[in-house]
Amino acid sequence: MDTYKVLIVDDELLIRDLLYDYFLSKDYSIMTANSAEEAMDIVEQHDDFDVVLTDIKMGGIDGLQLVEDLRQSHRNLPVIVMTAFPSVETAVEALRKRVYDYIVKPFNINRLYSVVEAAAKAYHRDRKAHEQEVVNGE
Amino acid sequence: MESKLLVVDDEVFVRELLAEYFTKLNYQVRTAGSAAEALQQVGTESFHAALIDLRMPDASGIDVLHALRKTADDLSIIIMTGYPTVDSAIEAMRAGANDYVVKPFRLKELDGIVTKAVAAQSHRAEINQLRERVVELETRVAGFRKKENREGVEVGPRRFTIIEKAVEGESFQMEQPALAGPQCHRIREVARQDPLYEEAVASRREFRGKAVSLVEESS
Repeated sequence: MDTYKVLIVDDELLIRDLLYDYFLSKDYSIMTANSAEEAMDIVEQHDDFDVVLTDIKMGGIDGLQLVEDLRQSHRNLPVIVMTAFPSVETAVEALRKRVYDYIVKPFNINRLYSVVEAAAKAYHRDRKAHEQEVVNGE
Repeated sequence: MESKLLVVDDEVFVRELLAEYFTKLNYQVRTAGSAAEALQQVGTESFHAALIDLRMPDASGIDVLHALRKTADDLSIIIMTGYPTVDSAIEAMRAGANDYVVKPFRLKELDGIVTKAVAAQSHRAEINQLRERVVELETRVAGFRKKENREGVEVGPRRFTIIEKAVEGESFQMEQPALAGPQCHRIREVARQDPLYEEAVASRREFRGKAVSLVEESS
């Protein structure tokens, strides 16, 4: 079975720990970042994430700007945004930035898991197929 | 070619305003005053994009969006609403809306959104055509194979090479001159964002698998 790799970005330690433990129990490979800046550094060093799960409202760069920054280098990497402060404006901005999903906190962890799993599975399969194409010289 | 736009709104004023504005911008515009009328229109003619009001008496714009994703999956859909909510914006995103526009809007801004939506539809339509082409090629390879089996003739390496070259020569990237170079790259990039891309990749992989097994059988 494939192991998916998720990057969790949230400035709240409690959320990072909760999600880390949960996804570890689901056999995910996990990295965490406490800011968008740290997330970008991690993504530059690790090119094999299947999905990014980020809070919107963080100190410094916010989650929606992180989506835009990630799109420069990882155009198709699925990003799921989370927020405890939902608004029409951020939901529409998220739609326009083609985020995979917009999750309102507090969330149902099983519902979050099914969204993350679907995103990671699709992207992982696509990435592997692309790597195979490169190996085949296509 | 004129881009075709469907405007769906139960308010006559909005329909007429948008029809007049986009007609002036050289769009071919059709209008529908209800969800049922919209579904009927899309069933009889094809459109590049649809502007759909969220709140209509017979069904919500999201219901129409869901229905259209089943029958016209490459159509670009823009949801319009005078009553925006977080839930409906998220629902629109999950249902695959291209955009969500809050009324009242600036027509110039809406023009930009529709232009992007029409471009996205063109890319998706092209991708769908390519996918159909891959399936067609697979069918042809299967046909070759059936013929060989029926005639009891072993597919020799040389003969297979000829078949393979014919298929490769017609492979979807090479046959479409319009898709060469940077545009091909761009379409591939757009394709990768589309759920249909997975299916296309799967078809291509299956196709290559068949080609490999033919080589193995003939060697």
